[in-house]
Amino acid sequence: MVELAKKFFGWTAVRLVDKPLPEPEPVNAQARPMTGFFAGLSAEQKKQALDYRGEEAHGDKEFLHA
Amino acid sequence: MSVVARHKARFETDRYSARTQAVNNLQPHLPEFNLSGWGARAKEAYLYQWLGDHKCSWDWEEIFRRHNDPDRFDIAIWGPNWRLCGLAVGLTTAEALEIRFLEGDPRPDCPLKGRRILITLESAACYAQARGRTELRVRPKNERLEDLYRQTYGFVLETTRGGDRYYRKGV
Repeated sequence: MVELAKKFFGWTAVRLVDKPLPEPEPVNAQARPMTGFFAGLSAEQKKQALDYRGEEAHGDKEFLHA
Repeated sequence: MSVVARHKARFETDRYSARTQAVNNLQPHLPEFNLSGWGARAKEAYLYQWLGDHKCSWDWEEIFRRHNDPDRFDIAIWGPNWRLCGLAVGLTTAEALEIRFLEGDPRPDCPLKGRRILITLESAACYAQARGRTELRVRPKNERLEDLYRQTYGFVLETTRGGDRYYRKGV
């Protein structure tokens, strides 16, 4: 019984050790200049973005109107 | 002023600055538009302009009621004559701002049709930068939108350990 318990807890310990840590919360995250998104696109990407006329909506289906 | 009130005021300042900066950045490329948050004017426009058509997809009153985080990023996109052209909301995580909901004006003659994603991304990126976040995340609902985010906007697909898929891009 003791051997069985050792094996069980040993297996649990290995599993928990391998568990990755969550991302640290940047409580004092530094604000950066608001350069935006569009400025970082290539000329081709900018053209595609401005020419796009397709579907845009996305979100959680839970909030769809009945 | 309490610590909570001070933080809320800071969030509101950042939201306002991000929307203003996004309008300044995109105004040379797009038809006339403006941005605000989800307030009384936006709610009234949503009820009278969008719900009258019965084509609107999401229940935005419920979305904003349930996603009431103090640092959420709510966006109302306005066209000329206070026409409500789009609504969106993003939530912050430790490192990212995730755009959780986005919908354009259901009326077919919207002057900003096809541009509301770009406007949302621009303002969300500005807010993320102001809040010290380093990436934007989206969860497009179909292949066409996935292609748009991947090819046009340069997002990269990520999969969580639980198999949840999302797209991310550094800002």
